[in-house]
Amino acid sequence: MNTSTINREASDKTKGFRLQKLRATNLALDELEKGAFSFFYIAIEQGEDVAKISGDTETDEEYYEEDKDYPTSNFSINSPSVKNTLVSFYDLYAERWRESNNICFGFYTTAEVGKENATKLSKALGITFPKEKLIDLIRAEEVEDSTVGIVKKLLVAEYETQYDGKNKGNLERLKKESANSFRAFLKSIRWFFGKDDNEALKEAALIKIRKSQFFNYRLDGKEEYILSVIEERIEERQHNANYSERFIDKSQIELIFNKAESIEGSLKQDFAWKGWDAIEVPDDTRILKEKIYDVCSSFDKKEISRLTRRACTARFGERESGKDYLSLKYRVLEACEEIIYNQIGGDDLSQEKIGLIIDSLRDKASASIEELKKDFHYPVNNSHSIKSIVLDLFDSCYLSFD
Amino acid sequence: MSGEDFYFFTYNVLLILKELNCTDGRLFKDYRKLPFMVDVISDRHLLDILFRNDFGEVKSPVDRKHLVGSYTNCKIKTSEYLKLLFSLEKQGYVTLSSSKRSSQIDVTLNKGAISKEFFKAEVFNQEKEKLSALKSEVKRMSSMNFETLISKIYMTDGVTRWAL
Repeated sequence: MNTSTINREASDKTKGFRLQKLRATNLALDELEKGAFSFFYIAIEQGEDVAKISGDTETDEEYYEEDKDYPTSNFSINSPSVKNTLVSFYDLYAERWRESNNICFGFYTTAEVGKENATKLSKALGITFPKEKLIDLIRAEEVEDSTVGIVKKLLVAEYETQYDGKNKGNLERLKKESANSFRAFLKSIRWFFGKDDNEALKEAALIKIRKSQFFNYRLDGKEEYILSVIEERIEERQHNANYSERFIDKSQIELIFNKAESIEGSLKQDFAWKGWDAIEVPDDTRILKEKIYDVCSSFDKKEISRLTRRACTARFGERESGKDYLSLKYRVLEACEEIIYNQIGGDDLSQEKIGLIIDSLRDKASASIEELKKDFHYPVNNSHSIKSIVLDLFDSCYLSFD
Repeated sequence: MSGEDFYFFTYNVLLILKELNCTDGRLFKDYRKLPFMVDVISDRHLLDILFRNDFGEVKSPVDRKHLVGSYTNCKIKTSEYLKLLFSLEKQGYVTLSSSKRSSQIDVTLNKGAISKEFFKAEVFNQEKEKLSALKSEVKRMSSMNFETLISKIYMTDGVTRWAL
């Protein structure tokens, strides 16, 4: 029998939050390059998904953007997301227009423009949709009265369903809008369709960071770090109690660039793992136990099984950490090979002597990893794990006591 | 200039001549361009700075400083390059010639004197990549005159005219 469980994953919703942050970051990075006298304040979840106040000594603009990540769908004026956005834009427009004469809106989506289909509602309202897509018509330079009329009818109907209680919001005002004043509202909306999704926006932001006037060669390789700090700042600020502190501004972003210069660069990857391909695999098929008995037949059995177990733990690390671990193992082998020939020789070894050899190999390997660590990143570098790797090299075919 | 630097420059000079096809009589005009080109293909940041600013005005003061540093450094090394080229000519690797009209010294690589394996070596991959990136942006580097090359790399970029 098939059991079905409740899906608790929220990735569909969270990608929307990521889109907001990336859009806000991209807008901020665009504004950043606009010259010495420009200013901007950007926040998410203030009024709309993204809010931006920007300008220079002569002009200023208040911009609110709604971001929708629906990659495979088409939006028309009739789509719930669009109608909902229009209501929200209208409320902001009605409340803010007196204070700011340069208010404008943006509808940003990964979806494409779709054509309206007649619905129950549109028939009830007596709307016949034109042949062309309504969104294309209202984006055009000249918007005809008939188009304005249709959009207004739809918006009023949507507004009424959303404000169906005592609170009527700006309904009366909306109803009274003349064709011209409603056209002015529609004109204040910028439509962005078929735009970059999260992945593409991230790439775009990284390029903007590299091309920024505040970027220089010392920041090479720190682009992702800068991006994530900007995103982090935008995100953490949205919850500030003080309204003005919810915004990120020009100097803060400049500071992020400057601070990034002083952080330590990340360590490089050691490509020594490539060396494994070049090594001829020796045909010594003995395992650790046999190698020890071949030089010291009196070796304590319990001790051998303990050592074998330790060698095995090194294998786990190998599976978990991939190439970095192989590089580490290769470096350990290099170090051991350097001194092992001086250590062995003679025929039989005592148990004590074998212990000493393993310890001196471990010390040599640790010292050499300690030195390499200055430039490269290794998943482990404690001497305990390195001893396991040394034992593993004995257990496989690479090292032996004879 | 230390002894090691001479080897470093030699490898790079030979590589540039080979990659720009200045071999067996085809001339690389004006050896003074060489130190600057070597710097662009061997420095970790220079080419990146140029591309990041689309070979135009360099916006960051930190980047500009790096560029000025490279320019002065190469300028100082120019006479060392000449010594190097004379010595390479003596050993038969290159042939130097000077044109009748000016006192400029041109270079050509004697391909036969160098083993084919030398240029195939993987250690040059990075330099080769950088050189072809530079070639895509600055055309005809072998025949252009010294001033033009300098203005392409440095002049638009904040090393001002007084530096020349």
